[in-house]
Amino acid sequence: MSARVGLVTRRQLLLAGGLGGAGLLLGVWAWRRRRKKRVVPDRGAALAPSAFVAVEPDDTVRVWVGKSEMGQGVWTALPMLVAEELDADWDKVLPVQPLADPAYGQMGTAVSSSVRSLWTELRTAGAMARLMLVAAAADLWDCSAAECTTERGHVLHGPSGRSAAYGSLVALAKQQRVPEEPALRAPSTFRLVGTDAPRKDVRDKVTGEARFGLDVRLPGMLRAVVLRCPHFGGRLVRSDTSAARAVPGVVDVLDHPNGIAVVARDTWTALQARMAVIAEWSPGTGAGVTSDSIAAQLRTAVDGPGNLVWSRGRGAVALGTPGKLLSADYSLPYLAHATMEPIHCTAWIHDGMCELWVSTQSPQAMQQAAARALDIAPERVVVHPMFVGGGFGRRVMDEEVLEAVAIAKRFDVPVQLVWSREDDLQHDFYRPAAHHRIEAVLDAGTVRAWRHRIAAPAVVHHDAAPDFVCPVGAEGATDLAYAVPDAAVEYRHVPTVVPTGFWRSVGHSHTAFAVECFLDEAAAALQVSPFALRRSLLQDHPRQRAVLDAVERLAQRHPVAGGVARGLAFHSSFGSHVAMLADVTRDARGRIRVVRVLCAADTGLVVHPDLVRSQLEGAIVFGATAALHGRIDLQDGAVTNSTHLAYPLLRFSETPQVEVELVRGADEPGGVGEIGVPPVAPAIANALAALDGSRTRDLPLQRAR
Amino acid sequence: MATELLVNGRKVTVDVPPSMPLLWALRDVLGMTGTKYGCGIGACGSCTVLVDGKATRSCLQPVESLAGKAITTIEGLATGDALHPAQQAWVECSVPQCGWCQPAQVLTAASLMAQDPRPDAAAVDRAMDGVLCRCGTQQRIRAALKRCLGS
Repeated sequence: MSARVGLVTRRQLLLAGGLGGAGLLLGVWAWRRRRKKRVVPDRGAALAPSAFVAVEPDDTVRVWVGKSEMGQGVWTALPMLVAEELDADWDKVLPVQPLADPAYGQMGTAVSSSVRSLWTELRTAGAMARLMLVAAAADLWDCSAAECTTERGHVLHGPSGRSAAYGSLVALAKQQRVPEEPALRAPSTFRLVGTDAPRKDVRDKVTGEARFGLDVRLPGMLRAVVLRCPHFGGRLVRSDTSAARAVPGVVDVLDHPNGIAVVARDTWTALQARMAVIAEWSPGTGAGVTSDSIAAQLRTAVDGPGNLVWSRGRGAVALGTPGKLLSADYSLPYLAHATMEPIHCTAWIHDGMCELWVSTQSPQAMQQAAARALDIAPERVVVHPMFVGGGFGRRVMDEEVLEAVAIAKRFDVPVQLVWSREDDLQHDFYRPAAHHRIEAVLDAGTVRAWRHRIAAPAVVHHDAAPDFVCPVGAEGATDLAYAVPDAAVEYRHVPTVVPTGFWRSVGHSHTAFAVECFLDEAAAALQVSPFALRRSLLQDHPRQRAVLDAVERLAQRHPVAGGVARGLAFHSSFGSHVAMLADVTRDARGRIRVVRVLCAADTGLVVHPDLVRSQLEGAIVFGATAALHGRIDLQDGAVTNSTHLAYPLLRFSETPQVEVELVRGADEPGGVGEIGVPPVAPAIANALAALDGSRTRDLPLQRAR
Repeated sequence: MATELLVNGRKVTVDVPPSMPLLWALRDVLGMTGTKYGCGIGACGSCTVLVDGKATRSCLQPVESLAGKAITTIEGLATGDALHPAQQAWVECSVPQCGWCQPAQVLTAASLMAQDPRPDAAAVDRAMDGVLCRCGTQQRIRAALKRCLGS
């Protein structure tokens, strides 16, 4: 069984390959340009000019959240866009989780696009409802709509002092014409957007009432686990399932496209019985494949030219110009997502249809996947998206849906497939390992020429032919903002057996490390400060430069403590700009401690400042975890990390104190969820180089010593 | 085999193998899903509950070991609509992101508060280090702890 990426079909991704680094982004954003009129589902007595909003007669304003809530705050930020234009009473706004349905547009939650992609449509939905409520009030009061204003869920008529709650106007408002293109408010007049409105998901998340995909409980539901071949590229040689079948509570043990499925009355029994399965595996094409062997292949690959994916001026030819030639190699390992909520999917196939309950970043893609697997129309697949216990890109893949469907079609009751933590770490779709070589000519105090070679297995298409150009393989390295007159970026895909996927910030997660470490090395060689070099190279980019200046002001407010070194990094991604300073020291046992991170970010117009800060704080911990500890190890094509002990996450006492300053450089929102990750590793590595007096160019930093 | 448990002040009977960990008895048999599965080996802390007031990994506690002990899960921490002070602090500091580990974080804080209302920094670190958070909410957990521990 081969999993597909849930946001774009394989075909789309391949087509996008020809578009260079922006291809994937275009694939996800393409729906936006179509702006086709959506069908509004029947909302009964409510006023519902759009699929996204319903004003109920009891004053409740329901907002359908067509993106996955995974901690980034869409249950709050997206309803705020509707409520802003509607002048709704925030306390009466109720987010609703829709089923997978084209009525809500592209529900895929990725490329940090939730607010950006719905920015206009949701405000328009709110504005339409507001205008209809005002028109209803004007009819009722026999006055001009222009004399009416709105405030916290009420229409007011100043001259007469009359006021009506929205709910009381719903029946009349439904008879009004639906305004086609209502005028939207200027950002300077926003009253709700830009405030820290109370979040809609927090209370349920501290009382245990929040329901995630793995929390689904259905009558008669069975539990299933799959014993998978540990070797990527391997196969099952022989098995004996008799002992597993004999475990009380086991319902069945089945052959499965991915191995052997154990189905039981409860998860514990299924997990226990799986341990009783005797299986012999052959490593197949995974034989001899180790993390080191892949790293060596990647290192060799940058010795030769790759596919030219971006260039400026004379490109790499300029490396021959006079000056000091600086060259450095950087390597990064495979990484796992390790979402706290384990991977799962509940499937119930009944009456010619299929119902899925799953924590997913792409409900519609899961619908398509199940429909293909069962050879039924997508309309016969009902997807119930749930709160997502951590996504980070892992849950755009449809592997668990395909696995669950293959089991559930053998039963007439719901089956909940559960992945253990071991399954998760050993069968992930990993952030690809990568090897970077940057060569540059330094002259007259600046960088004159630049060649950046990247070798990394493609995202998703890990086994594609070597000439495949991964559309996100060089993102963050291309379109170099730094004013180097002649520059080129080459990318080389190296096929391997190891499955790869999207990992928070994707290509940026490794390209920023190479570029930003190299900038510091260039600064040292030029004998200028890392800040001054970046600032001069960003001369044509005032937004970026303002962020750099903002982090410098933070630095002045927070001086470096004794025995601590500070490292700088800057990176732009998903329409936003981030500068970071990491304060790093070594403890008595020589272990690296990141004690503080100062962060300035320009995410454009901010919908909910506290959520943006929270995303940046979290991204810094996520990035620091990877920088210090993250590494997936392989032996004969099998991942040897099986628990958190072998794939450690930063613990409470190890997490840095974070200061965030938001800079507003635009009147449109930029991306938020991923942008904090790319600068973390280079900021820490740059600090460590200053602290130790020698540079580590291979991640993770903690293991490299 | 039937085992009697005292969960959130209520006597319940679960008919499961005595070696089944409390985590799965709660989630799969009693349908109480506030207690989260994360690793099953006591390494992540997501499954934390209170046993006689002490933070305990429910994935490592066979139901047979819990007879006569008072188990508190996240569902039983609030008193009616009144949130426990730890829950209240978590809301005020807007701690949760995805939320999967937060019942365990809150219960660990509640256990700390009950045992030592003014713990030193080392005791706080010891307790909180046992519960992993992938979203990176630790800084906000620290802020919330300051509120409810008054330190």
